[in-house]
This record gives sequence, C-alpha cells and structure tokens, in this order.
Amino acid sequence: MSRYYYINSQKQQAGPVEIPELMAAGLRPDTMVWCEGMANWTRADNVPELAKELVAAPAAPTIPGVQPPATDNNDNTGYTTEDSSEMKPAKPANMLWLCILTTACCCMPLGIVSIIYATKVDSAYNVGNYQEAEDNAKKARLFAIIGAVAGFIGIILYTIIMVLAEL
Amino acid sequence: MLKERIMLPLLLIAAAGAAVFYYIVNPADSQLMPHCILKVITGVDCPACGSQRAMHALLHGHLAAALRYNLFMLYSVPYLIAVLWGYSRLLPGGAFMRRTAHSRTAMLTYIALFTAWWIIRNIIGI
Repeated sequence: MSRYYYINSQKQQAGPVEIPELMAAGLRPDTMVWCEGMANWTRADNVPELAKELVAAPAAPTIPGVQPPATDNNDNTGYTTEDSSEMKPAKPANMLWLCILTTACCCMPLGIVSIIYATKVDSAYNVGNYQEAEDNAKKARLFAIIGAVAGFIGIILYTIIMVLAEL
Repeated sequence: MLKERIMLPLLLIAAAGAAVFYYIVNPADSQLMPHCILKVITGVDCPACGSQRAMHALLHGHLAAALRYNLFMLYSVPYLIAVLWGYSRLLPGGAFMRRTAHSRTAMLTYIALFTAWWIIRNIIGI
C-alpha cells in the first residue's frame, strides 16, 4: 500500500501516511495528495485507490477551519446550471412565454392549465422536490404546446372555411 | 448564449414584421384575418378578443380606441415582454425579470387578472 503525502487544513504538507490514517485525517475529494511514482500532486479523487475509499466513506468530517465552497443561490429561478450549485439540478423550463402568448391570442383554457402547472414547478423546486418539479414542467410544456398548436390550427381552419365561403 | 444571439434578432424581426402587418391591414375590414375560435363558436368574448384591432389602432396613434378594443393588453403585452426578457442571459435585467416576472406570484396574478377580465368584459360588454 502506498504512503501518501497530503496538504492538511493548515495548507501544510503532511505525511507520508497510510490510507487509513489519511482517511482519519479527513481526506476530502479535493485534498491534494502525492505518493512515490506520481509525476505531480493531484486531487485525492483522481487517485483510484483513494477515490474508492472516498466513495466507501462519503461522510468524512469536514476539516476544521476549511469552509465548504459557498453556494450562491441568489438567482434561484435560473433555468440553466450556470449559477446554481452542483447538487441542485437546473430548474426545468416551463415555457411560460408560450402560455402568455396563447392566452393572449385565444385557446386560453390550455394556456391557463399550463400556467397552473408552471406555478407548481416553482413550489416543488423551491422545497427541493426536483422530480415533482420536472413532472410539472413537462405537463406545463405539453399544455403550452397543445394550446398553441390547437389555437393555430383552429385559426387556419376558420380562415380556410371563410375563403371557401367567399368563392 | 449562441442560441440567444440568434433568437433575439429573430424575435425583434418577427415583432417588427407583425407591427408592419397590423399597421397596413385593418383587421376589422377582412374576414380572412385570424378570428377567435371561441367567439365564432360561442359568441363569448375571450380575454384576447379585440387585440388585433387594438394593435392596428395603436400603431396609428389612436390610443383611446386601442384601449376600448382591449384594455387587458395594457397589462398582458408588457407582461409578455417581461417574461421574454426573463429568458435572456445577455440583456441587463434578465436575472431581475426571472425573479419577478417568472415568479409564482406573477403567474398567479396573471391567471387571476385574466379570469377577472374575462368575466367582467362579458358582463359589462367592454
């Protein structure tokens, strides 16, 4: 078993130690480690035998004095992952624009149903129920699209009928 | 972002095209203009009825006439713009619009006003 050098919470080099000792020292996936035979220092989760240990003991205690990366959730209605934390999936899109457009151009029952589902996306997402948020978002998108397509087809059909009536 | 760089100009071109179209054509003159299916079938005014005529009037500078055709547009059109704005990652204020216009409160307000307007306009005939 290799003996590892690592960078401790005081940002000082420590070791060499065996893996059990390393784990006891509170190894985290982003702890920098090195052992003989390695070209350079690397993150612990890049070393297969350490990554295995990290998976086996995921709840390693946090190193005192080292803050976990802050998660910035100011923009909690974001639709992409760019400003949400890693653990949080992006909020599913609800096609709100299409709902407003369909309700503002007729075929509103379906547009309104869609907006109701869209509001449920928000409530589910905000309490962390991502699966339910996604299900509601799917329904919101479905009704928005059906509403828009039905409205469009209805208008086209009516226009065709009027054209035929004029002939 | 690339998507937005394409979508935004397309949207503006579509809006400009619609504006030119509704400036030239008077929807009240033609049977061939899109008609509200709900109104055709039931005779009930839907919340959007009159928007095309209102748009035509507005583009000709007749603000009062536009509001008589459809008062609800005073709220629905700016709200639609705010919602669209909220999808933007490039325009300033995009994040603000996401927090406000896309919020649950804003959506519920829209549903409430939409329904209220629908009932009221059919009762008092506006």
